[in-house]
Amino acid sequence: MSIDKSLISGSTSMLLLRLLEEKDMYGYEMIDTLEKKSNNVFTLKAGTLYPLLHSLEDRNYLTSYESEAGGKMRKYYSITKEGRKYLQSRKEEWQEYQAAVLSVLWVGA
Amino acid sequence: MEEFIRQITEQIRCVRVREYVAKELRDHITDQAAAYEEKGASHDEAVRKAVQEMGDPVEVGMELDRIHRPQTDYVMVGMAFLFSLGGMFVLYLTGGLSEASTEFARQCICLLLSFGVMAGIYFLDYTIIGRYPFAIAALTAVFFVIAVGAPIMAWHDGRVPETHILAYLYVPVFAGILYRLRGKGYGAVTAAMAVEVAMAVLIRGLATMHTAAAVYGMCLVLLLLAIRKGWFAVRKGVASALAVGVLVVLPLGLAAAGLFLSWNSEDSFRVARLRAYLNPEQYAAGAGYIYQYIRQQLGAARFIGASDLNASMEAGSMAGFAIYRSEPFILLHLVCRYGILAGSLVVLAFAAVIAHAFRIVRRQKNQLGFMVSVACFMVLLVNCAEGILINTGYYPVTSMQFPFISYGVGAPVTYAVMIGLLLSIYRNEKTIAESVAAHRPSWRLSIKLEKR
Repeated sequence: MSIDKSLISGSTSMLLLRLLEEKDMYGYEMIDTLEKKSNNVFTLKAGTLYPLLHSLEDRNYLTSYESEAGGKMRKYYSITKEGRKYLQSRKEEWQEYQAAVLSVLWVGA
Repeated sequence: MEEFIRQITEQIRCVRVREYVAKELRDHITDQAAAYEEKGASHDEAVRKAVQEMGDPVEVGMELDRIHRPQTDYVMVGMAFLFSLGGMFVLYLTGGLSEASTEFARQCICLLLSFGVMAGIYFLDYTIIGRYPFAIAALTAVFFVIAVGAPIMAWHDGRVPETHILAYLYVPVFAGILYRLRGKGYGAVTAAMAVEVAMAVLIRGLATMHTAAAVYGMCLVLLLLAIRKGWFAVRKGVASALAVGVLVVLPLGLAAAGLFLSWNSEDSFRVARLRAYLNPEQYAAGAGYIYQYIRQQLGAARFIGASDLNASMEAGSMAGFAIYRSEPFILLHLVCRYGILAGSLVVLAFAAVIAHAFRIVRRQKNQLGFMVSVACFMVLLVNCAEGILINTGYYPVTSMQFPFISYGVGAPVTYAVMIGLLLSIYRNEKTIAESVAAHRPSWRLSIKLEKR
């Protein structure tokens, strides 16, 4: 199933923050988890992921640290308090938007 | 794969970020390829596919470059230039430089030198403080001993040269030492304490007790901050108590005992100064006259223009003329001669610089950047606050030098280093990645409640 790209790109940061709300992850882990959770709808490219992660870190929504996993040092990302707040506001925004789209698409149906 | 990563990192102008980005991407491609191999692809095929998944290398690289760009703090640069020039004007107005033109020229050279130092530090990567703190501490010691020791040797009259303000350079250096000791245990905390005491002893030996105590206090704040931030593998409460106990309670107890024993003896000049500060009226004829004098001057000051006392002051007919012309009282002098508004403008300038420095501190995510910026912020804050309090008679009179409005070479260079470091920290905010997190708990416990 393919979905219009602009719909996804705007909300990708929201999805990433949601993933990190549950546990700290490294980059590949996020792509993998996102793919599984969304039944392969969201196949995020690494080329999109890392600039996004770095800019979220820059905006203080994420912090990163190195830690060992499976015999390799990996760069883990962790959500910050500000990140949680930001996620909450994005979620509310999204809900409003989604409700509006639904009510227009299926009005009177 | 390496070719692909090289293409990405070539887009990133900041060289330091390159290796750090390359490692993360390399790890990712390896993971992705391993996943494809598991699904049955050959090794080469898997790597090729994983690289393809990344997207356009140039586009990705440009995007990363945009995020990790060095940035210039134009506000701070502007303030540094404007206030330095304004400071020269104040020095000129208060008359210290107008009499002899050679002195004015000399001060201009000092100012240019300080701009050079600021620019040098700005372009130099400040993280060198974290990498070679001990070598830098040793170099600073040599520099300090020469800059302060040489005039002392030449004068032989017990005066302390104005260059002793360079002692404040030790505060950011101490931040680097703490950074270097990170991750270690109580031994590291003890070592930091020993370094702090050694610095204070050196400064006390060559300069004033007051400067030594100020540097000592600032270093203690840095140490406590480092403990609180989890830089050391110690129990925070225990380590903080240890630091405060050994570095504050113990010497304070000894000092209190010494003061108690010598309070009634007139031979200690420090005791005499303290008593004069506490009861200026009682000592109005002696050491306390200075506080009386300050109050008298401020009381007569006008909002704009010279005070009534100013004329007799200028003629040198009143007692206290020496104070009028002495460096720490430049602000008081300005107020008497040009009014409270002029003095307020100078105080506002200090406040603006300090507030801006604090904003830089608040922005720092990088551990070393945070600690060094706190160090610079404290040096600026404490000196300005002390100076203003001295000029208003609320603080024991001691030798101090303001940023921007000081004679000589020591103060401009010292403050240039502080501002240069702050600029460098700001510049590299987005280009320096912390390679290893400090002391981080390796597990995390979470409880989730679910409705059935």
